Amino acid sequence: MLILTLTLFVTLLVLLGSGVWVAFSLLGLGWVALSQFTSIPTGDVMASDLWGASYSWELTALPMFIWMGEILFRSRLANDMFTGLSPWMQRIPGRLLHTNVVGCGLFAAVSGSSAATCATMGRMTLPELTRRGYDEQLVIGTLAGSATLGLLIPPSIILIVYGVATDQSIARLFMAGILPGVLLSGLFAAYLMVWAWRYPEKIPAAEAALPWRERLRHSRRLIPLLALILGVIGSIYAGLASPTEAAAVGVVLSLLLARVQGSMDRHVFHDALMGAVRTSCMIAFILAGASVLTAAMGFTGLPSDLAAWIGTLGLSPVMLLAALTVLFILLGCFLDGISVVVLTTSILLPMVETAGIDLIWFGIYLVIVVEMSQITPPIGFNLFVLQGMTGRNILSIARAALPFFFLMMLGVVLIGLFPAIVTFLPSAMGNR
Amino acid sequence: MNYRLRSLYHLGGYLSATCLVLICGLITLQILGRLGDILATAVGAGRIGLTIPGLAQICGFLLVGATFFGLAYTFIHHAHIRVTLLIGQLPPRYRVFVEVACLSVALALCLYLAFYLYQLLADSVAYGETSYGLLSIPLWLPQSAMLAGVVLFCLALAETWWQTLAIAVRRPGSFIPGDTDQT
Repeated sequence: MLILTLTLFVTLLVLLGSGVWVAFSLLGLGWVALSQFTSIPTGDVMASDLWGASYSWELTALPMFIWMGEILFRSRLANDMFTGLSPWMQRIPGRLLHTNVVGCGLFAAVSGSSAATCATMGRMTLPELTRRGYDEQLVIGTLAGSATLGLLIPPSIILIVYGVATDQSIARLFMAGILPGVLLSGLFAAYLMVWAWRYPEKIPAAEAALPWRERLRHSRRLIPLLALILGVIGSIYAGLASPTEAAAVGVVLSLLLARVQGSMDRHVFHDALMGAVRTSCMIAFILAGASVLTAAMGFTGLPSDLAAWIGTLGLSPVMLLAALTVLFILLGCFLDGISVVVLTTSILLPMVETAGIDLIWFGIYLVIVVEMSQITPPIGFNLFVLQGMTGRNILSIARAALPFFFLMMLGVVLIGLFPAIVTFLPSAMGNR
Repeated sequence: MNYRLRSLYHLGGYLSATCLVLICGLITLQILGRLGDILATAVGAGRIGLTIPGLAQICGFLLVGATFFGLAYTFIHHAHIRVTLLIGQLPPRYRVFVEVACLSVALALCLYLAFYLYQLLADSVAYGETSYGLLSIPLWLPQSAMLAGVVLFCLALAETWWQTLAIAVRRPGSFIPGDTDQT
């Protein structure tokens, strides 16, 4: 087992480190495991596994949600959101900084990716807030942190990846992500309030308060977004539609929304669709590679051996999770979130199951840890997005986002202490 | 890179996009049918019963097309992710050799997959395998889409491999990495 583990580990490091595309690295690792350590007809198994992993009704939700995100990214939604939200934020300590948190939280409820959430909200709030004199460092940090909610609040691309790879219900995973998402937004908002109370001189004065009628008139622009959220997530929760159906309806509604706003024409449609093709091909190919790797690992018996070995150490689930958290944060510094998730599911899942950890809970935990890795250098997608938008050094952006890293860590501890935050909504769904 | 077969890869991308549009359209039709039924029963009329039999399967197979036809297109747009943290530090004249090595690994794996996917397809044809469920769709149909996509990907990789190798041999210093960003 030692030779097997070492060989595979070194192979993985060499493949990924030398810049071989992630999907091919997974396939290559699977090939090495099968051809060198088992007597199984390697090519046949790889081909039939690749085929078996590529057609699935659940996985169909993935390109649909990606497409929906691409459409909304090109619409005027962020603009409407800022106008609709800002009149209400003037009196809260921290003022308009909260538009970042609430805006990202709401946009996350129609978008499945944190980079898209970051880019969409940032395009609006970065110039608006710095123009009004808010501390740029804090604006960037808030945005980087809050945008990670895109991964956690349903729909979520990474939860679909986890659900397909571990054979868990995607509808349940989506529901499980809601309360932790709200919890994290709450933590972010509380942090902003404390900060504003501690450094009142760094927050610009409130603008003249609008009368209630004006505020409500501005907020009318939030209605399409709220309808979209209700239509997509509500129909999944109520059991009216499966995540895949909800995603397709989401695409149609977003197209209509963009059309009504006047931000949709042939070019925008083309760009959004082809963007969706590129992202979904990339992710689906990684998933196919990961399923080959999972099968290969199953044949070598490494994951179950690893689980048995961990079992002999007599670690409590808490200690195991603490160790895994450190591992994932390290991995997340160098790998993107999807790669971390598929490597985990193909190698570490038996270990997690043996430790008696609920797989829905583990999915949410994994996503929060992956979120943290979105804002850690050197590889963090939100950092790249913000670097592109502000032209600032990646390390200075990472420093701005650091408090939010610790807030998410606190979030992980909280869902560990109170697992019901995760499990309450999915169990309230009943046995659908 | 100047791809000779660029239009072919783009065709793959558009086929993939067509699959996505079809998936979305079919599911929407199905849901409109369901809503229509609810409305019809509410006003006392009978069910219209517009349902698409085997929708889940059709969509699953369209997804195969959406994923595989677009692989080459995705590749030439540098959208397949990789870790460039280490190799990004290399000067071009060394980076070009690492690039050739990466492309060789990818091309070898891709050709290997294409060969065994062909075997899988040949088996499906020989035994006349069909999908389970309401519709018996012959499996060779989606499987040949899959094979076509992988072969297209092989072509794109081979073209890139050949051009990169030519640069590595002639003037490695002039190499410009395609994806200079960190993804």
